[in-house]
Amino acid sequence: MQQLTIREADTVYGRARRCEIDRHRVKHTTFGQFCIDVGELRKQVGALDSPDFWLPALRLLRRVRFEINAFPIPIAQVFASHSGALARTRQKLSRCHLTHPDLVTVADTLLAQLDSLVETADNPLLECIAELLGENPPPDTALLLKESRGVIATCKSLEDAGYGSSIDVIVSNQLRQTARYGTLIVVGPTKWYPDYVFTAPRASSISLVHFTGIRDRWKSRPVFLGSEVRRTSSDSKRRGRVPTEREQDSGTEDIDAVLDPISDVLPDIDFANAARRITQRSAGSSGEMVKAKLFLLDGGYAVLLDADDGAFATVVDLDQEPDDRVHMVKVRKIEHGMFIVLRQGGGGDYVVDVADQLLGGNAAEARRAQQRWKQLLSDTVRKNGLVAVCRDLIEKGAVRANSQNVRNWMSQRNIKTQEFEDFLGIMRVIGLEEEAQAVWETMMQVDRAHKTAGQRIRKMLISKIRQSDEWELQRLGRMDFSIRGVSCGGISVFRVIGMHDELIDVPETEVGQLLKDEGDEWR
Amino acid sequence: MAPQRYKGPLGSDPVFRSEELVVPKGVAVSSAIPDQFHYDDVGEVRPLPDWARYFAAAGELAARYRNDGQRIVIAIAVPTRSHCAAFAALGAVTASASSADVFIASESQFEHLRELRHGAAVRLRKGNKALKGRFTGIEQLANNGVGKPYARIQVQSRGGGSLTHLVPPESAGRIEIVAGTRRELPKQQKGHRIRSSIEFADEFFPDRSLERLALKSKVLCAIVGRANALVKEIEETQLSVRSAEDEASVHGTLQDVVRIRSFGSETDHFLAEVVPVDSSSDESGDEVPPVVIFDGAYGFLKKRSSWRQSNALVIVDRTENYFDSAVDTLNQDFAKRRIDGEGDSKYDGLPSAPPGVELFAYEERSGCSS
Repeated sequence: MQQLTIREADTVYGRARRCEIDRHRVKHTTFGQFCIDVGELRKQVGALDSPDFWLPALRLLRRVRFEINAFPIPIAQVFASHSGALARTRQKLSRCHLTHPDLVTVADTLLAQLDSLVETADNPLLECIAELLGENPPPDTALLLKESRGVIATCKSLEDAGYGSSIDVIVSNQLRQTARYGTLIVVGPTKWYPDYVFTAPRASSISLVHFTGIRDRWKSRPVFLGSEVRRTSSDSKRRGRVPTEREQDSGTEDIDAVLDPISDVLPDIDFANAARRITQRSAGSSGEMVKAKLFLLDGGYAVLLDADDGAFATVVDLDQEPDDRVHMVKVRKIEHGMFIVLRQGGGGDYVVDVADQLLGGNAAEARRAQQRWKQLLSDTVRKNGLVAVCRDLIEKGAVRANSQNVRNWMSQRNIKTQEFEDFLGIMRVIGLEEEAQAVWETMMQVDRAHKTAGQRIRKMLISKIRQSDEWELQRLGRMDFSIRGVSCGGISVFRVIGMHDELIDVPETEVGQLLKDEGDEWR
Repeated sequence: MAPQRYKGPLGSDPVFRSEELVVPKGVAVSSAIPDQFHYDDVGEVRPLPDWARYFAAAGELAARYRNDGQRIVIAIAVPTRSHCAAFAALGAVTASASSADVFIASESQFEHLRELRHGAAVRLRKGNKALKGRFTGIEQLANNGVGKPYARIQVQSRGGGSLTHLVPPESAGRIEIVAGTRRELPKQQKGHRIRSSIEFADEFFPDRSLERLALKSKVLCAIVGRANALVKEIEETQLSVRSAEDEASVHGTLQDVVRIRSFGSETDHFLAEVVPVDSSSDESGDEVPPVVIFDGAYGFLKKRSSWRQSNALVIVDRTENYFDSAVDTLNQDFAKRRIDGEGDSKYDGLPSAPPGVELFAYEERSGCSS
């Protein structure tokens, strides 16, 4: 969060005092009816005994419905960006009389609407926005979008409409900073945005622009149970503002506001289904299994991270002081809005690359040694069972042997035991007692290299983030960095926009892999 | 009602006189902020905004509340938390300092010195410099045939010549007794420049000029927040007060009044402390400040279990990531812990809330853990 001067802070209070909120409802008959009929199809599919056949088609239809509602880009362009899935969906709809005759009415209606919408040159949201902006929009105007992934397409759309790059296209996180605008155009219903967009406005006027089919109402409410505002609610100056509603006609036929902005229009993320799919995909894998947490990232990506109680990940937290922005945090404590640091090539740990560079010529041999004792320990556990191996290890001097520790010691992500006596116990059990001291020293070298590598990467990341455009990072929700020593193209940071509450068992090889587009598949 | 006691560096000095500070229901706020208060914006002098005065008044409200075995929790939701804690600290420190015995008259200070052990560490103010010193006793010197006592303050080591200042009772306000162990004196010392502007501070303590009085360092207010941001707000933001007497402006910063310990040098007096959000220590040593200000939701969530004896002022920024969590926690605490009645007003004297600001306050038993 950026520091404001007294004058800048005063401007924020001034905005809070004077800000006017207008609502502009956009009518588009075909799209409005399409939105309702997608809901109808969803309802009818939900009543089927086995709805799975329709789920991919429903996902596509709901996704385009959301994108047309959320981004002021031409309707046909939204459909064109999903041409493959759209063709499959149209095929299903057209064969509905063969597969699901009960759905044929709604399927035929949707087909007809799709035929019309994919051809239309309409961009109803932008037409409304253009009317608000006029021919010479003031320079301090911004367009607020629900998701970062619509930013680039919207910029292009504005450029095509002759606005060049004079209008900032932003996401709500950017309004937490010093940004203060004359006019803020909010695309979509208020419920899609955090309250602070309206309760701590960074603009003199806010225009809400959304389709007529969406039900939406905003009212400032006290946040504290015993607040002064509640107690003095008769004082109109202390009550929240209600947006003054003003409709803008862009169609001929009225569409009732029947869609709930969250449950109907916002694609929900089916984390449980995603977890099930990942588990199915990895069934039969012989690799080590770990408990992982699934994170949804900006741009339609997702990632699984090891969520063992002692597992940490590097994150960028722009709310912290510049020197503290890059830090390690327990995976279970990663929160929305933080940026997760991942290797661009995906998979594995980027610290390993740098650590191996530091180990120089010894790297290959040290890694072989690390892999060897861990493999032998894993083989012993597989052969004799975890409980028996724990007992054996304790007898041989590894006094900290318990099922969790032994699992950690077997993991390739773990380098060595904390204490030599435990390591010696392991080496005795796997028959390498004579090499124990030498291997321990090698593991110490690897451990030191990892620590140095971690510090070096953190330092480099801090420097890169200082040099980078924080505004862009907030706006796009992602940024790529090249970091010396990290192979596979460097490091990317992605904003966390969602996470699954439950942990899932996955092979270790799945951890840290960037799952492209899967985030959207789950919607 | 037993007076509240302060567990400070000097041990057991009572700071609060209960008859002055107990405010059972509703706390009248007078706000010691001067009318002609301005800030400097890139060379342009502008009047201090009303919202800044509001936060100073809220700080004062927190400082003035005293009720045996109870404390007040004040929470404020704001559109931006920039400068809120800084001005709240100004209100808290000025309100506490006017009642606490941080100001010592020269004569009283001299009497206190008579009981001080020889060798005790002191600071001696000399112009705009502060010298490290050691008290070496009271000496009677003949002055026009009349014996007059002087405090002996040694400022150089024996190797440097043992230079000693003789300070008469009427100037004893220049001597500050320093807590802690005896320290070595340098061979020579030019003294540390006193960074605070006494003239500016005097505008906030109209009846107690620091020119004439000694100031005893005490933590009257702790701010849990980000030190870098608070340095900018408290130490680097230029302010001015136009004196009513001669219309001339007196310049300074909030640090001149609030005197954050970690922002000053070793020889500076302090009246407040900043506790970094991520610091491992929970409290500011053994000291229990009368007021603790949480500058932001994150610091509140992280450190709220500390200072349960102190009145709390929680500032949460509506745009913060942790805003909702902090509000939920405050609401839960309010529902579970409040001991005041529904209609009790604790806002008397507070000006109207600035736009976008929401405030609530409740009383709870002090010292109860989360």
